[in-house]
Amino acid sequence: MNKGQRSTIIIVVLFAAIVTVYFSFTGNNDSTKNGNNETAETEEGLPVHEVLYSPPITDINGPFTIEYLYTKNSVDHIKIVDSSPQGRMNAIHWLREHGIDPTDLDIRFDDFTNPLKNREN
Amino acid sequence: MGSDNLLNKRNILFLIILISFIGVIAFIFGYINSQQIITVKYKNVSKLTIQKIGEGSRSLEKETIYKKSGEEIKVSKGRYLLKYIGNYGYASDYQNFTVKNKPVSISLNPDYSEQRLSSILEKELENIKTVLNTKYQNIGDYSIQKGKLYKKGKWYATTLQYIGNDEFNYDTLRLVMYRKDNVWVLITDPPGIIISHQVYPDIPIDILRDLNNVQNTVFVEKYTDPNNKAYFP
Repeated sequence: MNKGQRSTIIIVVLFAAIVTVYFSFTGNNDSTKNGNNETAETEEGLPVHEVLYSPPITDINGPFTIEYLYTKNSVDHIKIVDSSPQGRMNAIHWLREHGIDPTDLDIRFDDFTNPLKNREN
Repeated sequence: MGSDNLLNKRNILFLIILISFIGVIAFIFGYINSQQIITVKYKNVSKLTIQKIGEGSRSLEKETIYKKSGEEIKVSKGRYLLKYIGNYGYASDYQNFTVKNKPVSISLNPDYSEQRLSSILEKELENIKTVLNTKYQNIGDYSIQKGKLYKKGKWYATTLQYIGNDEFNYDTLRLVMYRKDNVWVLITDPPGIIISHQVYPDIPIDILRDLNNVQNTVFVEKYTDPNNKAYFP
């Protein structure tokens, strides 16, 4: 082995070592990059559940209909219509059953007149 | 010929030493890279432990007791469970965190314990009811439930059970109040069926989840239909 060959081998080995060290530094176990989240997020960071992109949900026994209004990237709010007090409660239960926490959404109730609204002393 | 063999042996030995040296350096760098610093600053905590959560399972490795606030400890990267026991009057709780490529700094100041909050609520409930009675003329259509205090006793949330005669709007309503300068202020005006985090982003979300999901109040008997599948946990 002449001097040139030895230099080449040293360079190759050093390069391999540098690459190994580099990847050991930059590689991480960031599990969030693997996409374990079941819920996607919009640009605004609001959760978007697939179920909300289905057609309006109607349960005549509820009774309730859940409609949803969304902008390009996010659910703006959902409306619960054609309902009674019992139906509104059932609609919220329906959302929970489908993995949606009502706290995360702006839910509006079309048939509900809030007895405490605009009736202040 | 003999000198050539000797040269080859020396070259091979040289390469072995070089590779070993690089291997040792890579190992040291790898070890240093796998470690990260955690700093936890806390008060009103009597005991704090950290446990690494095993990869791919829910198993926990041996717990490390955190000896004093602000202490820096070196740990390997991964997911951790932090548990703490609050001093007398303070809550005990746990939380998960992940150690990645940057040092982790955590500040802890536990909320009041449930017992302490209940005790404060006993004293504050009348003031709270007075505020609601003053604010809403027809609050008499509702039975104000006891509700709960949260955090350090400054947040209050409860449900209003309808007892009036409106057959179309007998929904249970929810509200959140905040004690500012020793005066209770209604944050969710008017009270709603569900209090949304989107509408009220300043209210801590754990309070809203508890209010919306846990503090359920059944309808009064006259509005209860036994054949209906209403959700009463």
